Amino acid sequence: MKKIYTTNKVIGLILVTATLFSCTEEIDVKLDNEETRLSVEANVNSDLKKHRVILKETSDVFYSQEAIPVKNARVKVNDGTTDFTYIEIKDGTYESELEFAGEPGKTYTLSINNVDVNKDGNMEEYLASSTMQQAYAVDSIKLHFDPEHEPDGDDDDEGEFWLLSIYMKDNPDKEDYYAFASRINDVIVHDTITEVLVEKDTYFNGEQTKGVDVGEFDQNKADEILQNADKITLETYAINESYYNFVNQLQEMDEGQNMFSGPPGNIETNISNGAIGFFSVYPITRTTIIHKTE
Amino acid sequence: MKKIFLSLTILALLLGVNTVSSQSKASHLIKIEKEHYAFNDLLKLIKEQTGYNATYPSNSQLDSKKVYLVKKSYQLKVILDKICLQLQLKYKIIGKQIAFKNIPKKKVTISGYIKDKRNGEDLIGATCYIKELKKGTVTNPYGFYSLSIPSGYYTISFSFLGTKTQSKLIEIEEDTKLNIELDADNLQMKEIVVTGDNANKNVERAEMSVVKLPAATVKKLPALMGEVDLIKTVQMLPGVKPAAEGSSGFSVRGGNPDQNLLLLDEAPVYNASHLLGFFSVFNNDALSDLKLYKGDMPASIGGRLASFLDIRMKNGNSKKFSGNGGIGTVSSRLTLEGPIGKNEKTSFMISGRRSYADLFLKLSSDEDVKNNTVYFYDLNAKINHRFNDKNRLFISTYLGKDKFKSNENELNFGNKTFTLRWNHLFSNKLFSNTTLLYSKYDYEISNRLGASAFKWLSNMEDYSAKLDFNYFMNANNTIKFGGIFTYHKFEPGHAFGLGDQSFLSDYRVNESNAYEQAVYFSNEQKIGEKLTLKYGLRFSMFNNVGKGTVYDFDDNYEVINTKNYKSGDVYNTYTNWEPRFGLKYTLSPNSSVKMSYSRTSQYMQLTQNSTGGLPLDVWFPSSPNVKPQIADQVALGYFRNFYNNTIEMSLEGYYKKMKNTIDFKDFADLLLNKEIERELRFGEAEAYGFEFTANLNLNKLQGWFGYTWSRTERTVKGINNGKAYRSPYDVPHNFKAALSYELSKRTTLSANFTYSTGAPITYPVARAEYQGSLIKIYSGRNKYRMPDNHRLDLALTLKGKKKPGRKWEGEWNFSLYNAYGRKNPWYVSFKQDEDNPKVMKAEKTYLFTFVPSVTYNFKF
Repeated sequence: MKKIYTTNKVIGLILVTATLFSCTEEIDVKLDNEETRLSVEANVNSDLKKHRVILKETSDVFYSQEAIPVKNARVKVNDGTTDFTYIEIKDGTYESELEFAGEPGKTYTLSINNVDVNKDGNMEEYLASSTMQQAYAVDSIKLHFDPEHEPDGDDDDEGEFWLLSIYMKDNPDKEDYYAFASRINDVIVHDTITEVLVEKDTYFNGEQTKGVDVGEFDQNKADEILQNADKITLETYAINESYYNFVNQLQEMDEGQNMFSGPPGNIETNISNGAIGFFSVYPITRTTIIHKTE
Repeated sequence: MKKIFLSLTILALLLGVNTVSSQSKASHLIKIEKEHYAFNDLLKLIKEQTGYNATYPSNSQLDSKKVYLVKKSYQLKVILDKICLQLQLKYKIIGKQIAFKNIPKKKVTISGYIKDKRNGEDLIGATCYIKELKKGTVTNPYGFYSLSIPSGYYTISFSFLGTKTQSKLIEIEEDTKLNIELDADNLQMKEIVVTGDNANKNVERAEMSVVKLPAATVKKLPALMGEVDLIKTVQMLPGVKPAAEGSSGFSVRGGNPDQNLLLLDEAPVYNASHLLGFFSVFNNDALSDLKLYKGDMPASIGGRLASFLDIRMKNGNSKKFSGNGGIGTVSSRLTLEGPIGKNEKTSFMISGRRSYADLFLKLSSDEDVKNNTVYFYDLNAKINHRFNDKNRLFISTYLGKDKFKSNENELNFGNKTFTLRWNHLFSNKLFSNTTLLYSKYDYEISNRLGASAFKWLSNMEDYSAKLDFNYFMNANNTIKFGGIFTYHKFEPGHAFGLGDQSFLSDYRVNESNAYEQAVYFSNEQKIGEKLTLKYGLRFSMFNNVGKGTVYDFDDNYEVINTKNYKSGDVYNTYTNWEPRFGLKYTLSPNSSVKMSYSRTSQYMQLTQNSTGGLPLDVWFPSSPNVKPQIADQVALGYFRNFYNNTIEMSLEGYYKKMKNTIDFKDFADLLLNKEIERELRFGEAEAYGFEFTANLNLNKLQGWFGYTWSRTERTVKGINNGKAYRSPYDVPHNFKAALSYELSKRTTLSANFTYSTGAPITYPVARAEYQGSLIKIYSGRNKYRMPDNHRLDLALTLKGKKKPGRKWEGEWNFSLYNAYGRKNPWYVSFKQDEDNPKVMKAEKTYLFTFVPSVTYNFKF
């Protein structure tokens, strides 16, 4: 699914025209130093597995190395009744000691202790909580080929794509937020957060999706080429409004500024105490087909 | 025989007594020895040299009154005129007897229209000045003037910038109609006698913070791609800043672009941009005159906080059929105008322009670009008819459209305006204008791609009726009053799936309606010779009218209640009293001080969150959730002219305080959003600064230069943690020059130069990694600045040789935009390096370096 009615998409036309008149050049910008903050990447989903939390330090914009991991933190997740303790499996990466599966309706609370990111000598505590939504029911998925597909994003060129269509019905009685990611033979294709497709149902509330495209496989990219009998899986996440906003804002931010974007701002988070990042909690619906090339 | 004699006598009386005195009698020369004489001494002198005896009213104290004389000798008739003008007498010569009489004292009114002799266009702001009384007036926007004075014998002069001054010696005993046609000033400036007491000049006008530009001036200056553009010229004025590089939006004294009222023949224009704002919707060929009010707003105008740009279309040549046009790099233009029928009662003007930018797209190597269609067009048309001296009718219209089209998508947007005006003179002192207005802005976007095919429509319309009166009470008081009623209709957005394939449902942003109305009264009062006061009051009212929907929000901006109102229900009302005050005090014939205060209110605003502005931005009204914006501005200025008013200088300082300022939350979702009011944040703003301007009107060198220092800041709850932050239009230093120099009679060189501090910008100051991507952490709002902005544009105009007997006149214009290729940033973006995603780079995107263009203009 291309993002519906987003400004950048509908004014793509104008932007194309603008590129005719404009040139781009790297510039030097002097920026003030900012206090270091904690960056959190944490997720609990409906899979029965050891869930992960990754802790890093924020850095200067022009820092060119891997972010510095935040070590020796005390991390745990509580589901209302049980505490799940996390252990550090490598620097800054924490995994739940036990396998567990997130359950719809339960509220999960993440707590992070024993860290002093701003190095003021005082230990900080960070909290976040999120409730798991009910999983979506997907009727079916289908692949179709488009020899002249224009992918999302300004930089990618038009070309040959396999597109993944979804058939399901949106719930008319509530606001729904979706995220989609796809796998080829169980290997996730779109692994960065900017490639995950998120959508809210404002403009198709209660509608049948009628095979709208929710995944794209670029046949000019080695890891996206489809072969006969490949197993294609669509993962549909039932996300909540705040995670939708987080991803949507992050993607908007990632596209960069243009003449028509508003002043940039700081994206939402559900983590307390000035941390950056998000503690996401959602169930996953998996739909699989086998690709056949005629 | 008796009858004939009687008729002759009457005729003689009608023609004025002076004219009957025969030439032979009046041609005596009188030698003068002194600069002034007492009246009876002068009569003795006349008697000595000519033998003429004089009688005069004995009950007056005429004997000792002084008569001032300059020359060494005068003809008898001339010296008698001098005496009469200075002492307000009339005379008659019978045989060898001169009989002086008092002119009966009563109030009379002199009124009429001042026009351009070449084409019959009304001259707006032309001056009528009575030397002996040191009193004058200027024509209103319809070329009408009226001046009430004591009856008398006067030298009346009529003048307008760029025309010859016309002076008349007239004895005015009764109410007099005097329609004047001023001829072009083909002579050099120095040959015109610019009298020191011309009321038109900058120093003498009571209004301040006002700039008036004839369309002809706009035409002389360099333009982007040779496309002469009124808005771009306005952006060159001190106190005005382009909203962004290349944009048609502008900020006046720290205001927002949507705080400017743009009226084209009194109809509001809601989006003045063509093609990303690179060009404005105003086709200069169709226009006669523009006036920008940066403050000191007249009471007759309201509804916007920052400025009022009054743009008038040409009426059309009432003398002869003529045309003009041009062939340029971006567009071609053609204007036709002329009289309809004989007797100069009706004339028309029609003007069209169409761009052919899409031709450039065809040259592109990019297939996507190649298949795109991009163009815009404008059409202006006007017709006016004079029924008689008391009634005139004007009908004018504007239509414009932009079209962008690719294989998948299509976007159309445009304005329509329609104005019908009826001028009626109730008396020679009471002028009225009745106006009916219509204005529309709409756009349509569509996509033809299977499951996500859609159409998206947006529309807004205004219907207004307006009544304005000018009452020229007497030479010291000019009263204006009137009222306006407007019905606004908002249809901000309606989107729906296209075809059975589409999965999109019907989504409609709540439509709304409003009434906006105002009544006003103002007086411009002269007190003595030095002081002029302007005072007025405007009462404005705004009503939200059903059918409408209002949401109540909680502290987290979540909807907690929805109220629906029936069609016709007035469910919310705002009222404002808006006082306006101004003062001018003349310090010397060449200098004055002025001050002004004005309160303005604004009930409609634009969802413009980017400085560039999108054609998709919609206007939204005040409502129970959105209070009207209010501004109070005070300004103080010193005005001084040099060298016979050929150089006008002014220094103005201002302070402006704005309430209920609107800004948008971070990542605001402003389009196709029913709950758009959730995205708004409210606060205060202030702006202050000073502007220095020098206007040059020398022989060969014309134009202006100026320096502005200004600041503007906002404090809005929910933005920048509630702390004050710079407005996007906060640009402290700004220097501008727009000058043209006549190299020869046929060659003119002109240049624009602008320098300004870089615009405020929000930069990322830190970053965090998240799932393979980088999250940028931003500084406080507008904490940083872009690099300084400066640019020089040049133009050379070559006029063709005028061939006798040929009507066609051609002119070549060569222009070079951004002559030294300064790469002024359009925007700055931080992006991850494609080769090494760990590295973040700052990139500036810039527009237009060295843009040469050639335009051929013609008229016939």
